[in-house]
Amino acid sequence: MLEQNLFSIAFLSQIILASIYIPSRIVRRMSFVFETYPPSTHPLLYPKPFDDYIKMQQRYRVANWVIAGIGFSVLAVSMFVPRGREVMNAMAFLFFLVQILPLIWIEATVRKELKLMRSLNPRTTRTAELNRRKLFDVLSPALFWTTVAVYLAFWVFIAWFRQFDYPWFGGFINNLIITGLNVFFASILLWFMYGKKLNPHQSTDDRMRITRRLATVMCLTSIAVTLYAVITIFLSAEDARAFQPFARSVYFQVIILLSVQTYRVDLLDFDVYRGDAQAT
Amino acid sequence: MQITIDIESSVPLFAQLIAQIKQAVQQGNKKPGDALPSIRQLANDLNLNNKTVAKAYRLLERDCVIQTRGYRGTYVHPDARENSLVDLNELVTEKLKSAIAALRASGATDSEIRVAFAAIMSSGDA
Repeated sequence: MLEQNLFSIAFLSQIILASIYIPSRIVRRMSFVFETYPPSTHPLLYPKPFDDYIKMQQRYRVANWVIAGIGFSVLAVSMFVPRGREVMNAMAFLFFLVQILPLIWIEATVRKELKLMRSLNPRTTRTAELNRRKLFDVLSPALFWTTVAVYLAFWVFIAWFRQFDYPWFGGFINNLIITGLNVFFASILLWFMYGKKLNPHQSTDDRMRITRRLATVMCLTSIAVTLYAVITIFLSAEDARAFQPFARSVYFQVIILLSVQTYRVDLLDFDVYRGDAQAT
Repeated sequence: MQITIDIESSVPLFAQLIAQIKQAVQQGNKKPGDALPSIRQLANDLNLNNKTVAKAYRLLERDCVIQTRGYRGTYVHPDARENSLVDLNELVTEKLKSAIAALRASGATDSEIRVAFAAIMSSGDA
């Protein structure tokens, strides 16, 4: 019963955090940008009619309210029907997938906007830094080496844990999953560091700021995922699997909190979107 | 240190890159031994084809303004400052002008000079 109550609290927190609190912050940031940098002074920021952006904001807000409503309904129904561990695990996971849909939609919309911005870019000049970008320009060595240490410690942990011969234990498959995830993160980071500039107006400083933030978030996410894997294995070994849904819900909240850390409006230089701005 | 290129300029893009990197060296913004961005980084930042940047780097390396150290990347040459003052294009123009003037003085027509020049260049005998 304790584990069910804990899960209910965690699931309620997951609904409030990912479908109400974070979306409301993102909507407030959108409003801040719309009011502080309107089309009259920053025309390059809005390749489409301004009304389209207001509609997008409204759709995003409504989508999250609908998802929050679904979450509350699922939680309410689940309080009155017997819930097994698998059901709670599935609830946390499937609802997390639904919760991130608006974020994915926003990301896809931003990509489309940037494409449009590139095609409408009136400037004929392009500027670049004549300095080589290195990993430690965007990532603190301490965080990088901590992430590497956590990753290596996970290999040691799995190698040590194999001696107990649990039938459910996946062994080095866990390492493969974590390695795959880290390779994925590294590819994204490399693409941000050396890939094509998607925003034609973005200044070099802004690009570096965003890449720095992304690198930090990815390292923290990698550490969080590895720790979650260790916690899950421990819970299974200690016959406390009933607490896994609770741990999973908390884990998803950490992940979603980390992932939205890249949306920092105050870090950006909006002067580049002025009509009379110089090439960046 | 930033460089700017104009995609609508009549000056070829690789020539703009060469001129700006040489200028950075002459002004002391890039010192001997300083690292330069990789071809891919610079091409992506300027939204140019990799081959354009590679061509600029190749010509700068030929002029001993930059040097490539294998996988470690591209660096400013130790004698880059002096070498960046040498303009091979100017030298080629001067030499050709005097050669053409000499040929005309000996009675060769412009079309004969053009045909001979094209034949020598395409045969690779020169």
